[in-house]
Amino acid sequence: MGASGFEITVNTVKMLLIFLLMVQLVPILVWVERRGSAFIQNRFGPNRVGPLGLTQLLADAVKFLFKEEFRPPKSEAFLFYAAPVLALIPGALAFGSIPLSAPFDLTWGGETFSFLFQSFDLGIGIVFVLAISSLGTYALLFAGWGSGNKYSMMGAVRASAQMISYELALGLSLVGILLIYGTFSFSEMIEAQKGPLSFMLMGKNVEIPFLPNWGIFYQPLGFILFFAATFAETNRSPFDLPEAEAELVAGYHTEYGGLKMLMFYIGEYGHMMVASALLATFYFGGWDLPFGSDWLKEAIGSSFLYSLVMHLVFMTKVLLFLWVFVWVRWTLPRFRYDQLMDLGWKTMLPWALFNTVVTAVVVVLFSSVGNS
Amino acid sequence: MSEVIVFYFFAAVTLLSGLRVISTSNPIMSALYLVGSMVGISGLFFLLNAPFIAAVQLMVYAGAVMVLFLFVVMIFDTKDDGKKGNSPGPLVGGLKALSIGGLAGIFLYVILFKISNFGYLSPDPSAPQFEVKNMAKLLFTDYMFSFEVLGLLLLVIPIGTVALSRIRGGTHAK
Repeated sequence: MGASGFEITVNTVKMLLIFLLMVQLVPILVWVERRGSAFIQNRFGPNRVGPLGLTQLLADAVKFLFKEEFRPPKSEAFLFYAAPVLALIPGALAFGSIPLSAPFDLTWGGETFSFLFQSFDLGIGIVFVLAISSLGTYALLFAGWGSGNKYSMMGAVRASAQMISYELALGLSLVGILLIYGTFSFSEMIEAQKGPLSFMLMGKNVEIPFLPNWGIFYQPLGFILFFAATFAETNRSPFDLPEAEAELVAGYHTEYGGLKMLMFYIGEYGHMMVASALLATFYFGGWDLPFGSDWLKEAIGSSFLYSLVMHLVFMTKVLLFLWVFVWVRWTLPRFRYDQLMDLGWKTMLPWALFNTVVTAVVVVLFSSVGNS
Repeated sequence: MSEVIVFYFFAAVTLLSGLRVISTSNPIMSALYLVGSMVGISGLFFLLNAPFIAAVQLMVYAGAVMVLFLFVVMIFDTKDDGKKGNSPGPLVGGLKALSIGGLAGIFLYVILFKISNFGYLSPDPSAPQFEVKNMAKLLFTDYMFSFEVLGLLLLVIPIGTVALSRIRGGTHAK
């Protein structure tokens, strides 16, 4: 946490703020989701409460809070109440370990302290995020078993099967990125993506000045696989079989209502935010601007203000990906279950393996970026 | 000081949920307590300054193995088995209690012996910060042989599974 009282205070405030940032983004995302779906389907969406319907979610939150507290008689009390809480934890922990902006300095009592713009840095970056996200299945399993409802349980079993299947493709599609940057740490990956596109080709240094040095140019196939796998991991359409309403009522959260239901929603949007932040960090340079970030740092002067500006850059990238999540949900129809398993095991896993092998060979042959 | 509190918290989680794994009559709850125990062990690894091992412990055991366990247990109809397995006669019950007590006694003896000979384990503050690169270098130089042998052992498992499930009509055999 830190040595002095000031450091501990700032770090605690930072953790709280980052958690609140995640939770507070959810109402806006729900608004984007409802207005976006309306826009795609040629409807109006919620537009009565407040300007553009923006305060609709405030009204909804009040409604959620005052709903009747209900538990099905055949449910298991502990599991039933633990599941919504558990749904929040993985997203919040994973989001806290991603660097959201440049590190900044603060001066207090004549001493200068340096802080990271993230809740905590364990030094193992992506491994921690994968480990914590794999625990997300338990919220669904708790909910499915604890509700004492066979539709809930079918939804939970589907969800766990789906998540295990796609975790393999997800993990393997990241191996290419790890090979190229040679590190697990997010900060070092962002550092490696600074400046214009440049790499070693046949012993010569090739530089393309008009393209940024982003991961997507080195790992286009890895990006597509990772992108598709995150949709399956977040249980979003077209992979939303765990809550397929035509077959399973509402899947694992059939028996939930009010605030408990809302917590599942916050968990789902939290997973989406983590996925978008990871996509931005691995393939689109993280919080860094491709051009002019050094000039910006000089122009602003204060490292704290620079950090805030870079945070806005990062959030722009994250929000773009979040919009893609919404866009895809209202565009693509749901898979059938056998199609889902075929895609995971027979298409994405072999391609991810292929990507890994080709990247390994190319890294050895050309000894490209970040391989020092 | 705060590290001691966190240590006792994770140790209590690990041991208590470990105890509940064998004392609860519901197989689902038993599996869930095992997950709690795994998470507690992972927390202890974090405290020992080994974040990579901790994350792998979470990912492999809690995230993958136990989900598969639960998946299978949930699909089976286990309602009657639970009652049968946990209402033994005096002889069987006594034998079970004796064997569990004996095992616990052996573990306790080993732990006490270890403590009296080597002292308590605690993270060394002068040790360098953990790095995955160092571990990878060790794994592919000094421990290359054991690493490869372990990989071979894991390869035997899928081959054996495929071979077993293919004979006599596999899982659908009469």
